[in-house]
Amino acid sequence: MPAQGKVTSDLPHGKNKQPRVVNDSVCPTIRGCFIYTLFIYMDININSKKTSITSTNLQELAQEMSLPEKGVAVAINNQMIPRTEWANTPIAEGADVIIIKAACGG
Amino acid sequence: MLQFISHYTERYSYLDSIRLALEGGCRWIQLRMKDTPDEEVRPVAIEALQMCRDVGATFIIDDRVELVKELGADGVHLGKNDMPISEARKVLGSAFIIGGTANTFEDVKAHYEASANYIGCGPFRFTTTKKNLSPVLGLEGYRHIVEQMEEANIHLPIVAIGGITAEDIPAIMQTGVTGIALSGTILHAEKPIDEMKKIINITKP
Repeated sequence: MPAQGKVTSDLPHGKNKQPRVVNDSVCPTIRGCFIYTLFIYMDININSKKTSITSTNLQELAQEMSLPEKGVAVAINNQMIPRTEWANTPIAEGADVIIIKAACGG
Repeated sequence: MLQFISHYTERYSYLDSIRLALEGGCRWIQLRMKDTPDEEVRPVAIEALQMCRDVGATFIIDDRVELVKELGADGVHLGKNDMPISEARKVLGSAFIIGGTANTFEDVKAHYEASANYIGCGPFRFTTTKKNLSPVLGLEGYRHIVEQMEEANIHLPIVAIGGITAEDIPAIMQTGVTGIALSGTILHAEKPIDEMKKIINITKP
């Protein structure tokens, strides 16, 4: 609510009743987000190799990397993460991810 | 990234040791029962596997390729005198993790080419846990091997092993290795669960 009020009060007098003006004032960011939503890459290290990924949690990363159902162990920042916790484990920019898996792809 | 290797002491059995490690938060267990017949290992392995499954820990068995396959463990660790990795891969296919023991970069490279999925590299220092020990590596040894792996573009997780204690871990991790394997230092601690917790905290960035 404070942010909304601030945006509106910053507008020139007479224009604060036009929602379009409010939208325009924040638009560059929002528009940018829409455009980049599908293409947000972040760099992490996977087995010491710099890799660009789009996933934001470990479950997504497992899918993105087509990790098999069996024979996989994953650690983020030195902590082994059980599969049951993958969906609740966020991945941040620069994270060190270690994937131990039987079928080595790349 | 910590791997706990089971052992027994006067106070603890193999299963006790695994239970302590899991309770301390370790999520990678290797069951190692050298010089024990398969029939004796099987019941221990079944229970250890269940304990690991209950908390989502990865469970590896040392040496026994067939048992790994039979029980559906996550993988096998092969020492220098165990079945060759390429042969184990033929038995296990691509759904099981295979780790190999290495003492030199040449070992690492050979294991990598034979399709190993991680390396147990050591010994860091002299240890009484293991018989027939190879020459100790020390920090410089790890630095050198990690460097050679990078040059050769071998991106394989590498776990330091052999007489490692909590105090050694920061310096060892600095060499670029991926993880640490522990056994004795946990079991000989006055409070093994607390020791494991402490060590996990040390490895957090």
